[in-house]
Amino acid sequence: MSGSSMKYYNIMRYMLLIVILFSCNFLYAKGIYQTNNDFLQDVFNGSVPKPQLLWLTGSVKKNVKSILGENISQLRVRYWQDQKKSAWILEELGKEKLITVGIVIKDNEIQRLKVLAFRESRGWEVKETFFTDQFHQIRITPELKLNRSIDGISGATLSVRALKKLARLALYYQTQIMLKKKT
Amino acid sequence: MLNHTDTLKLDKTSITNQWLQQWYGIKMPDQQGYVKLDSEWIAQIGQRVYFNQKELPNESSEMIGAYKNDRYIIIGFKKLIMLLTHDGGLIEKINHEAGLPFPIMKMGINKNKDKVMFMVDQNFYSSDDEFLSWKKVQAKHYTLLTLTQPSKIEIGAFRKRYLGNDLNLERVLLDIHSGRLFSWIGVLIYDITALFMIILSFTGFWMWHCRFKKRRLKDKL
Repeated sequence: MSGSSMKYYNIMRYMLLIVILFSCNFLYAKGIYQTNNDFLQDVFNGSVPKPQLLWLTGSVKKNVKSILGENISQLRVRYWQDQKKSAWILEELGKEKLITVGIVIKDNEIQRLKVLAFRESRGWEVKETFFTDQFHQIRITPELKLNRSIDGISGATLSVRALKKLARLALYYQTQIMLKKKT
Repeated sequence: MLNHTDTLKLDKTSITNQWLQQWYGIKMPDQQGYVKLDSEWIAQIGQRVYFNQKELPNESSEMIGAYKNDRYIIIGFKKLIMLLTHDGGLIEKINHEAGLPFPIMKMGINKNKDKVMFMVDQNFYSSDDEFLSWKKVQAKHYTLLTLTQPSKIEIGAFRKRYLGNDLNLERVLLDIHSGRLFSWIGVLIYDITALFMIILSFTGFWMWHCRFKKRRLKDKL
């Protein structure tokens, strides 16, 4: 092969590689990353406790509305709890589609937050650990806000907002089940 | 009128006129299912689900049946069940992620009428009272729950409820204003008319200007 045609061949090869890598990025952007069941198996090392229920009525419903900015559509939420921690699987709208998030809480702080399913066409960067690790050991204040700021992601504002709401929600729910235990 | 949409609540005024609905291509979808429970109606029209006049979350899979016990109203669809309070408040949507076996082919109640059963692939499943866990059961005696066929008057009321949602007065007025109500021909006619008005105003001014110049010349002479 002559010099110029070799150069042309190499350019085409690299361009094809870039196109494939670029396409793969979008191919894996949205989808189910982990099923709810697998997440729970992971959290509880295979011994998933029976689900329990938290009813969202009265003042709880009012506080949930202040966190979400609108009324919640359902009257109860499931959670799984052993002696040390609780796990919540919650959903919130990004721009148009629901984002499913698994949250583990221990000692009233988030131990783990993971995006289980992402259905939007953009904003998927929120599933990456560089973003979700920010929620590690985060707590809720009496004003129902997170006690630390979370750095956003350019182009994923609505997804970031959804995850922050879910983090606040899970921490608030945890306070309610602690109250329930005491009474 | 369009400047006062909020005050006149034009976006909240539904159009129920059948001719206009047909003109916009709005019609009742093929997927329809109805269940009557005591005095309540549960209807699935297309993907919309209604509890009497109240709209519940959309569901794309077909409705199989519904049952009312002391605590809940349970609506069965092929891919999920909806738990409601007796006044139609949504308690929870339960799908396969919560352990519900699916696709649900049939729904029934047991002999004692205290357990709702779901048939999936020739097997029957029942749950605890709170629908938290599911197990396979032997269904020796059960009553199948079926959909209800509403009367023509009742279907008319559902039609009004369903079709009224899609078209409001603001939309119709905007389409009249732009000519879109009469398809692309209406838009073209409106555009040509508007262009003609602009040309008329320019030519009118030009004619006045020419006459004005002539008169001034005449006066000078």
